[in-house]
Amino acid sequence: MTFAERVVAMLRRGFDWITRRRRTDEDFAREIDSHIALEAERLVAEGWSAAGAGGEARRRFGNVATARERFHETRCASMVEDVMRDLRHAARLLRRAPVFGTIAILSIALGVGANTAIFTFVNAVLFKDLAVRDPERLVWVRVDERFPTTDYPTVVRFRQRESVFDAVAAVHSLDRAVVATDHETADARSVRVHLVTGDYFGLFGVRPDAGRFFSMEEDERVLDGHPVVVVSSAYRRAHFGSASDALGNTLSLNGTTFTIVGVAPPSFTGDELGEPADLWIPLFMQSAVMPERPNAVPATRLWLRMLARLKPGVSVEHAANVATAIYRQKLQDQFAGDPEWTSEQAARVRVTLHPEHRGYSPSRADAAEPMVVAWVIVGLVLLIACVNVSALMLVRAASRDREIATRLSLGASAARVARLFFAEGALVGVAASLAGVVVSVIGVRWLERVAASGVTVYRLSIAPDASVFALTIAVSLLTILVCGLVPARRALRLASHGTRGTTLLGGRRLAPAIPLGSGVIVAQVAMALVLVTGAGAFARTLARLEHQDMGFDREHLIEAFTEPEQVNLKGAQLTALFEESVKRVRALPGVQAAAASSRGFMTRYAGMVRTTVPGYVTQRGESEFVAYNYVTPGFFQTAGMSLVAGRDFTADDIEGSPRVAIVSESMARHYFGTVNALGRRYGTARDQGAPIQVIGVVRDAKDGSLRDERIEMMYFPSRQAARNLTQMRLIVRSAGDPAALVADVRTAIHAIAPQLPITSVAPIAVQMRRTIAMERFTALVSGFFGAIALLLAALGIYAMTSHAVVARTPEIGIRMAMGGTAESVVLMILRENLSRVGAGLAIGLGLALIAMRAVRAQLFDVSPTDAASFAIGIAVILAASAAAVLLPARRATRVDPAETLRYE
Amino acid sequence: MTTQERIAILQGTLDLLILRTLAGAGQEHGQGIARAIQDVSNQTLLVEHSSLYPALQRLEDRGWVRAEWGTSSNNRRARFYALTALGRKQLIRESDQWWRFADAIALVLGPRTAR
Repeated sequence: MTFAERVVAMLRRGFDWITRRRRTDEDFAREIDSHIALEAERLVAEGWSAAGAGGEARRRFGNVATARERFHETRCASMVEDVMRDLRHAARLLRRAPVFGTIAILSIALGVGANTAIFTFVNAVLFKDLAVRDPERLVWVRVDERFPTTDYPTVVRFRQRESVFDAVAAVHSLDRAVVATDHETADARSVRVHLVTGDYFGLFGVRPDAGRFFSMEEDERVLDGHPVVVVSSAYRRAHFGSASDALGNTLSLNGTTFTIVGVAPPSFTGDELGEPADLWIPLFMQSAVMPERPNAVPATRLWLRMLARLKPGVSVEHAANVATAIYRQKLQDQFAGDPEWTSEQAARVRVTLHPEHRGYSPSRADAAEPMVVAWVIVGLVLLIACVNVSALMLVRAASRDREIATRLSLGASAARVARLFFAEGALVGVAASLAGVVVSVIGVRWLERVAASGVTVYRLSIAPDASVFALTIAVSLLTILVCGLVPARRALRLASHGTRGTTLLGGRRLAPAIPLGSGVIVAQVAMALVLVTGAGAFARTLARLEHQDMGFDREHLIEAFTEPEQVNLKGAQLTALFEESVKRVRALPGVQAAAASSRGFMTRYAGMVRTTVPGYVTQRGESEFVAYNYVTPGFFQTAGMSLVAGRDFTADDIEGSPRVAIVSESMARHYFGTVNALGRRYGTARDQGAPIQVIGVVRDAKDGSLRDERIEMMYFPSRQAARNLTQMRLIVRSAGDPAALVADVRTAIHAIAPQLPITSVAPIAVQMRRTIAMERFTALVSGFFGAIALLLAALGIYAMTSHAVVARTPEIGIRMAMGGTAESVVLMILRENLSRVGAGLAIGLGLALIAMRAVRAQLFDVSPTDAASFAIGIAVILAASAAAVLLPARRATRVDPAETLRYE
Repeated sequence: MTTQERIAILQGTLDLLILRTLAGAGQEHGQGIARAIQDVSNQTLLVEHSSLYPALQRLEDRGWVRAEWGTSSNNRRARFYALTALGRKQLIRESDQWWRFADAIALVLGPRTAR
């Protein structure tokens, strides 16, 4: 055929295929029938009897099944039909083995889904860029290595020099409470407000969802001149209807009314990772928003974080040099004539530019580490799941030799049989993928909730990452299809070597060597041990954290947090207010005691002051700062903190009387050398003048986080510190369940000071749970997946062992016929498999030791070589393995020697 | 010769025989073709009937024969095959090839000797 003719033929075939109905199997069968009938007629004509002719015609035809099979295979045009048929068949086979199917699909779905969820989360927290234009060109300008902030005049100065920066903006973020919309009552909860310069949104290059953003001309001209606000999409969704509905509405904050002029897109919530902005307000409205610190804008106080966008083509080094020169000049101009401003100081000025493309988050690492640990755990489980499913598929395949042989003898080609196994694998893979999607969505939602429940709140809204999902699916599919290869290869081998005789009846003789068999068991056991040990360690960490002695009563205390700063309440006025509140609350039914303090329990950021103790020399590198707390009389009794020496404050310890303090045990031991520090005197930087006398020593109380070792704290009577008081918190001790009193306490405080924003009233136990949210997360994940790993490993061992038993039944039968007992058989099987388990345990032990060391930072009061965790892990796995091996081994003893021999 | 090669040759030969038979018969059904080859070759070539049909299907796929259901002389339903123009061309080509092949072998074997 010439090339042209060939092309024509191909085109014609294609055309025919599309237009004409392809020939079906049934049509072919009819033709065969017709042939046989015609042949029979011919034979009759040649002298055969009617009955004999039919049989002879059929005999002469040959193998009908083969012919049909061959025809079927030449139908390349019906490949789709073929595949559908294979899939349907595979589905039928899987339905007949529901246990295998369920385990395979579930375990892979779980592994894939969990991996995707956790990676998506880690990606969003650690790696994702801000959703703005060209995030690579954004930098955070840090003018002084001691502080992250600068002042407004510096920002203006930088703006004027346009040589390296396309835009320069600044932001100050803070929480404000009691923001009211016009149609809702004041919301006591805090909102995150970002005070920004006019070019802030321009710097990021985002477009508003509705309305407009700020501009330099309108919003950065007149101080307090333009009360407008841009709301975030989340805020808009919570308080208004559609985006355009929000525009024109007003918010009132601290008595000032702000008009909503724009809505930010959902993808933009400022650049502070984990602290999404709710409202943006022009910087020039600062005095209205922060009445406690008016007129910060023109001042040279450092309170603004400066951001900039590099001009294209400008290198960071060059820009930093230019920025340093600008800032040096600014300081020069500012301190001209100031004798303290020396040339050394000028030389030390150094401006650094930090990448902003991933946002600003000093605490990014904290949330990351537990996530990474969780990710490793989930990754291992996926590995175990894949290995398990592969092993199970191999076992299934090996036990289907007879089926393969029959198919081959019926005329199916080896390729056909191989395709069937692939179809099974593909079916499992597809089902697992679909289930995996569900798992990953659920997983991401759950992770979001966990991240938002801790102390550092990560309010993220993320969708499962498609690329990660695709990757994990690809990995799983690859594994499954590779195991589809092994039975397929067996099929091909059987086909070429001929199947008659050897395998049809004695199928078991082709004892399938699963060379990976023992390796699989060892690997699974090792990995399972690592996971189970880890789970044990994390669980014990959580228990230790939760049940440690805090130094104060955590069962019966409520803590009420307020924001007096926001309404400019401070000093003596604040103290009087809180004393009144304490009196009022004490009178409530169910309240045993109440008191106030300037610093709550479990507060991370709190005041410290430089302290000098006569007779004590500070060591090198030691901090001179000690934490302090202003408390009302009765505080310690309310909190359940016992005094180990001296007395509590009384109503006599007021402004004007001798200055007194109560110190914690550790502080006493540290600075005074003894717990009994009564009568000793010392001074702090704040009260230059009268030294302070220690009149009591109290037990240590945990502060900051549950992991802090000890806390040195000094307590002052609130009346003696009125001048410096800016914060107060109420603590209330309840007779019964503290949760029941929450509403009453809130009402009582509100009644006394209606303008005081009360941000939270809650039992201390609730707050404490927030501080260990991450530990709970890790314990949960490791426990859950550790159990899964154990289950999978046990199942794998069970499958392997029972298959081995089946494969060796003839051998067992012979043994028993020769006089061996059932026990000896069981022992033999046990010994072989348990030795593999033992090897796995040994390897797993080494790996677990390494792993524990790696996560030591996550553990609390549990050493990386904690014997208990390891012992539990080993015991659990041994028990599971033993069970997994015993069951099939026992079945082996029920083998009837006579039966098996007969098969031979 | 391995199994694969043997099958290939047989397939090619069978195709040729079918095409030639159809060229002579004009239109014929499968059973008829099988019988024709047997008879014309003096029972030397016994075609396995079951392998005839996949061959016919192949020829049909390649567009060398055309097929449709009809009624036989005894009023029986049968699928009748006929050569297409393309098939006729293919027949000429393959016959030439076969004769050239046969001549070449004859040259190598030399003149026929008495057994």
